[in-house]
Amino acid sequence: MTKIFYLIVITGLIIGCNPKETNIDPNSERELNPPEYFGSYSNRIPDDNPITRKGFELGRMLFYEKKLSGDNSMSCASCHQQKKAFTDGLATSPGIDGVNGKVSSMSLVNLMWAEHFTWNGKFEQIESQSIEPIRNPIEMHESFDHAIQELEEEGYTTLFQEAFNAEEITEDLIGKALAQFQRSLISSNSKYDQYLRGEYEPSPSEKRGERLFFTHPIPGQLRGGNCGDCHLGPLTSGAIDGFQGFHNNGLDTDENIDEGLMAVTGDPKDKGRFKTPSLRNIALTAPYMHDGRFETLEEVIEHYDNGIHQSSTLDILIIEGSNENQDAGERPRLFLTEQEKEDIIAFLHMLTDEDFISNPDFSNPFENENN
Amino acid sequence: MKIINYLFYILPLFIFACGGNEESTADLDLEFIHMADEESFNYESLYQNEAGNEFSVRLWRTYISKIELINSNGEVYAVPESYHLIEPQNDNKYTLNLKNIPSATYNSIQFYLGVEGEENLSGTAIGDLDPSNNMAWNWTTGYKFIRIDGEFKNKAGNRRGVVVHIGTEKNLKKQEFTFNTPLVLNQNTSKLNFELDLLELFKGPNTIDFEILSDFQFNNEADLIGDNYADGFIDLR
Repeated sequence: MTKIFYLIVITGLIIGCNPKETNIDPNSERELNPPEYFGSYSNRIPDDNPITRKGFELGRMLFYEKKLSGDNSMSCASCHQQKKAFTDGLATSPGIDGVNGKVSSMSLVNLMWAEHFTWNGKFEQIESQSIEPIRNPIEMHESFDHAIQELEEEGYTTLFQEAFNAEEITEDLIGKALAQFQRSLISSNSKYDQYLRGEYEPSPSEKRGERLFFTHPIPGQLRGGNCGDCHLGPLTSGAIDGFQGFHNNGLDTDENIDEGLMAVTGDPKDKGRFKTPSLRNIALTAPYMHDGRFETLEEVIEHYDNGIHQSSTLDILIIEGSNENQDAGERPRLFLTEQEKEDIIAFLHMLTDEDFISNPDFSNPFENENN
Repeated sequence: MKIINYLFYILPLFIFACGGNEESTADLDLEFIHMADEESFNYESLYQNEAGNEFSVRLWRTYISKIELINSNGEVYAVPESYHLIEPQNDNKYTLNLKNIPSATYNSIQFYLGVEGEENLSGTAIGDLDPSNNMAWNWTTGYKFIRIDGEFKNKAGNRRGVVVHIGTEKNLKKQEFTFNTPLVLNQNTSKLNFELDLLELFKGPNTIDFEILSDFQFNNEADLIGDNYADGFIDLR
C-alpha cells in the first residue's frame, strides 16, 4: 500500500515537472524529423492541431477524396499532383465547371516554414487555405453540408472520431486534417540537401550555381544571381514573418500589373507583390510565376536578367541588384553571362527531390483499390 | 499520524523535484527602443540622414549576442544561449526577458552587436539563431548582424534601395556599458532601457550620402557601416 502511494506521488511529480505536458493521443504524434537547417518548427504547428498519425492519414484520404467536389470529379490532388511536386503543370487550372482560375496552382512543400498562403497571402493558416478551394465556385464548387453528408455515407465518421475524438464531421475538422497532411509534406532529400549534409559532391557548374544563386551582386567586386535575397536559405522560400516574403519581381508595369497583396491589405504599396514560392522541386513545377507565364527555367532566368519592368512597387532588392553599374531609372538588369545562367539552372535542378515525389506516404491511398 | 509521516518523506520531493536551486535569482528585462535621432522610429515615416537624403525603412533587424553582466567583485555572469534578434515590435520597442540571473550587485553589462562565436557559421538554431528567420546568408558567410531594407528617391526622382546587410567577423562590435549607479538584482524584475538610433548607422565616423552609395552588403562599403555602429548606435538610457 505504501509503495503504491509513493508510486502515485512520484509519477505525479514526474508529470507535473514535465514542461511539455500534452494530451494528444490519436495514436501519438507523427514524427517529421526535418533537417535542422530548415529552422525550428515546433512553434509553427498550431496548439489546437498537432500532427497525429490518425489525423495525417485522414488528411491524406481527404486530399485525394473526390467527394469533396461538387460533381465528385476532382480532389485537391487534381491540381496538386505528387509527381509534379504537388502542382498540375498548367498555367491556370480549370475547376469542375471548366472555368479557369486566375493564378497557377502552387507547389505544396515545406509549408511549415510559411505563413500567409496563396499568391496574394489571403489565408494566414493552412487550415483556412485548405477549405477555400472546396467551396470556391471556379474550383471544386461544393457546399460543405453536401460534402459532409457524402463523407458520412462513405464511412468517414469513424475516422474523424479516431483522429479528433469528434462526434461529427465538420468543416473545421476537414480543414484541420488537410492541414496535418500538408504540413507533413517535407522535401529534404534533394541533391542540394545531400550536399549540405556532406553526402554529395556537386559538379563544378552546380557549385558555381549555388554560389551565384545566393549572392547579391556588387559591380566590380562580386558576381551574383541575386536569387537568395528573396528565396532565402536552404528552404529557398520567402521570409515567413508577416508579408515580408511578398515581392514585386518586375513582371509588369504600373499600368498592367496585377493587384497581388494589395487585394488583401488594400495598401497601394502592396500592388503587384506576390508570395515568393519555395523553389524546391522547381524543375518539376513548370510553368512559372503566379500566372504561369513562363514555360521554362531559361525564360525565368531571362526575365530576371533582362526582362524586368519598372513600376512604383518594384522590389528594391531587384533595383539594387546588378553585376554592372547602372544609372538609376534604367531597367534593372543582372548582366549574367550564358555560363552563369546555365550554372544557376544547374543549381535549380539540384533542388529536385525524387524521394519526395515518390514517397508512398504522400500518395493516393485509393489508387490500389481502384485498380 | 501516518499521513504526517508520509508528508515528512514527500515534502522534500516536492521542493527539490522541479529542479529548484536554492541560490536566489532575479529576472532582468532589457528594453530596446528603436529611434531615429530624437524621434520614435516607425516603418511609415520618412527620415533624413546626415547627408540630407530622405529615406524610409521597411525592415530593421539587429542581432546581439553573448550578453554578460559583471558584478561588483568582477565576476562575470554569462547569459546562456545568448543570441537575440531585436526588431521594432510593440510601439517600436523590443523586450528581452532574461531569467534566473544570480542575485548580486552588478556594475556593468556587455554584449556583441552581431553573432559572436562559431555558431555564426554553423547551421544550428540556438537562441534566436534560426536559418529561416531572414537573417542568414549561408554556412560560410554566417548571419547578417544588422539588416535594413529601405528606399529613397534620388535627385533625378528615381527609386533606389537603401540596403544594409552587414555581417562577417570584423563587423562584430563589442558594446560595454557601466551603470551610473550599480544595478542591484534581487527577487524583483529589474529593467534596463537601451536606445538604437537608425541615423547613427549613416554618420560618424563615415557620413554616408545615398546619392553616392546606398547598397551595403558583404563588401568593403559594408565596413563603413560597421565602423559607424561600433559606437553610439546603441546607448544605455
